[in-house]
Amino acid sequence: MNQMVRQIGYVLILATIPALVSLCLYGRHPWGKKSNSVKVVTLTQVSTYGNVLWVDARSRAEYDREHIPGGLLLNEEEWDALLPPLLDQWQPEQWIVIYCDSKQCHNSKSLALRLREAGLENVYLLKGGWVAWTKSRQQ
Amino acid sequence: MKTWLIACCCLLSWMQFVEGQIVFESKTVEKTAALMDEKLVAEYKYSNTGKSTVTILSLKASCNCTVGKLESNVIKPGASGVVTVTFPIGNRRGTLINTITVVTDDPAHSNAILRFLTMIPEAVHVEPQFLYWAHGDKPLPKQFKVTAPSSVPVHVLQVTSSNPLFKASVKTVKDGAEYVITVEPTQTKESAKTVLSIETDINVPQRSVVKAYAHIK
Repeated sequence: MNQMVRQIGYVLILATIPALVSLCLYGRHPWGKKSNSVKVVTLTQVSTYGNVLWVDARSRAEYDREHIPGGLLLNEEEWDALLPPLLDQWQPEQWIVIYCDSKQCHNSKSLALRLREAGLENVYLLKGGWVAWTKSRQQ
Repeated sequence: MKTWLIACCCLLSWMQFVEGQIVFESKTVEKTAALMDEKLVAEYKYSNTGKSTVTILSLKASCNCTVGKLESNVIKPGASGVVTVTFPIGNRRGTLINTITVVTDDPAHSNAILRFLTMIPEAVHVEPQFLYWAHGDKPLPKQFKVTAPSSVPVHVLQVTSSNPLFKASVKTVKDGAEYVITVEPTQTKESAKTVLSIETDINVPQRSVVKAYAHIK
């Protein structure tokens, strides 16, 4: 019996060590833990999931010319004006898939990170961006 | 990452205009804003190194930048000039890559891409910026954390909720550096939303009020 209590004690002490390390690194709030990577999804994955909110990270001119049906424009320049309609549209359990023009996606990644930081989960980048979408429509 | 991006930009810029008549001293400008700056300005000096006159037909910026009027659109051989681009900071933050397309009547190279890399520090950081309660959740309070990421102290003066169904209060964790805003809905049965205006003592009108959002859906 004593041996069992001692073993449980050892396990608890061992479990406390990584917990303390985690506390020191990230603090007690979930916002302390960050990852700078954004998962990239393919059109096939998106169509399989189905429940998607498209976010267009291209320029306003490109968005006005043509965009994925239902897609919402979002960029750093107009963040304060464009975020509220996106939040209105967003539904829990929905994937937020961001697409750029496939050539310059730096801004769309920072946008994805900012959306996640804003408190939205399931934020992804579309592999191939707008070009992949238009190609898939042509097939 | 940043160095890599700059290197790519420089390489692309060099490749695009290497044989053109209009030669820019540098096609990539990198600027870091100070905390209270309202705008960033980039200058791209150019000259016509060819033997014929070149006309600049248009200057188009990808950002909401203002491109200054040129002294003359017609550049004679040996003449030089400056393209001035003003980038309004507004609520932007982080590293942004902006491009300005110069279209000329130079038959060899009609397009040149100028790049403006802007680094904008955040005066005040709210995380998360959006909170939500699902229908039927307990109407428990949730929190926004407000911090001043730079060394310049920023004070939260007050917080107002646009919807009285959400009560908001602010608590100082560390004066000038960290605050916690607590939001509590009165119910979660029906859909509702609020915009929280976090007023700070930042001395730039466009940046003094930061928004955060809370929804029940």
